[in-house]
Amino acid sequence: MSASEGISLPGNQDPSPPREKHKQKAKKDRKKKSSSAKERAPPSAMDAKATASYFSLSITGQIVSATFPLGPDKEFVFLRYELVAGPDWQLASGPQHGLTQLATNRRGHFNEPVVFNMPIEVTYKSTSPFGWPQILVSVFGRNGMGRETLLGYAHLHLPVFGSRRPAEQAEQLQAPILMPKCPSMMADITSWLLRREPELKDPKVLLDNLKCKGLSMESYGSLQFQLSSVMRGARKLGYHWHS
Amino acid sequence: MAEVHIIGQISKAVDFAEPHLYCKWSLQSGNAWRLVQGEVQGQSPVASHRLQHCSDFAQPLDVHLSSASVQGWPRLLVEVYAVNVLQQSWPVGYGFVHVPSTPGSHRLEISTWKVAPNGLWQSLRERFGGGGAALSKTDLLYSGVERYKLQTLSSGKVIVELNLIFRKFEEYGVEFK
Repeated sequence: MSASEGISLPGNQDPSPPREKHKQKAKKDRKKKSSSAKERAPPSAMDAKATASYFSLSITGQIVSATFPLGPDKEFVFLRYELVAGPDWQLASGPQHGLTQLATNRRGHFNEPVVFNMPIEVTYKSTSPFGWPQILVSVFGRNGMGRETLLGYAHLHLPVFGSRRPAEQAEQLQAPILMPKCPSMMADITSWLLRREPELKDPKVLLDNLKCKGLSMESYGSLQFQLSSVMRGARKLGYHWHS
Repeated sequence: MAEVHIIGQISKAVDFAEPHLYCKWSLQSGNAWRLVQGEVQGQSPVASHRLQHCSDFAQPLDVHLSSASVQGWPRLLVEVYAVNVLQQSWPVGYGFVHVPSTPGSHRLEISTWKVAPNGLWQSLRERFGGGGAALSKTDLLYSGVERYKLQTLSSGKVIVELNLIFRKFEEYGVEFK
């Protein structure tokens, strides 16, 4: 019981810059991302004894593609993803944020998925499954002139260990892309005149259960993920994962 | 004390007649169950789909419960409300489901019902006047005691995907396989 008391691990603060500055700094963010992609801590050796109270979760996979039934609204699409976890979870290795390439499907059929093939490899250490990490993706579109707007947000829990049989792991996880709508008619008119879609100041509001009351979202399109998880040290703590 | 972790999401609502829906959910359990971490109620944003007739809520659920008894197994109650252009909202679906009793991942479909309009005036009010009738005592949702007084219509389905993790059940002799 003591292992699951929720011992808070330091160091899971979010170092990202505030959301509104993202668009102007898209190029700077890419350079920053490549330097922070190096691992934060040296990986622990496999033969080190698993500490009695920690278990570590390693997620490997990729953001495969984005599918829009009638084509994306803008010519180029790019994603910004962020991994959010509870207070007991500490990121042991892997980047917490990422920015993908600008991808398009204009040369082919409008229905084709926009392929990103963006790798996600992270390892978390934790004392309790509460606050299981989630990936929050902001989908942005950019037309040929260079103007970027938001196309939506998508979020997904990283696969909970024990949730899929190995035979099913080839299937892709789908997350719907939700776009916030304007809260009032005046905001609608302003956004149409200025050609600028509303964006959430802090997309983590979508992950909270009570703060997202009153928002209005429209869903269009979905993101496909292929993720799998490996766990170390959880059986010792007495958890039952599989049916 | 045995512990149960419920991690998942309320994914979407299908087969409802109205396009703009939001979902109020709560997780209830008996007296012997205690909430350790997480929130047991929430409300999703109003969601609609551009092309299809469904609503994607994508409300994440993450609850950590500890229990001293098998009685009062937790249940998830769901109320789906519709919103019209004038920002009025009314309930269009009530439903509940018991959280499954085996660990692993589950996909649950909650079939919902709504209160049936009683005559012409009430059906007109439901169509044009900002909504149908609501339940005054919401404990009718999960108890079967006084339901014989209600008249209801079937409504759409809410799809919930849950992953359950159990801990220390075998120390107390509880078996689920």
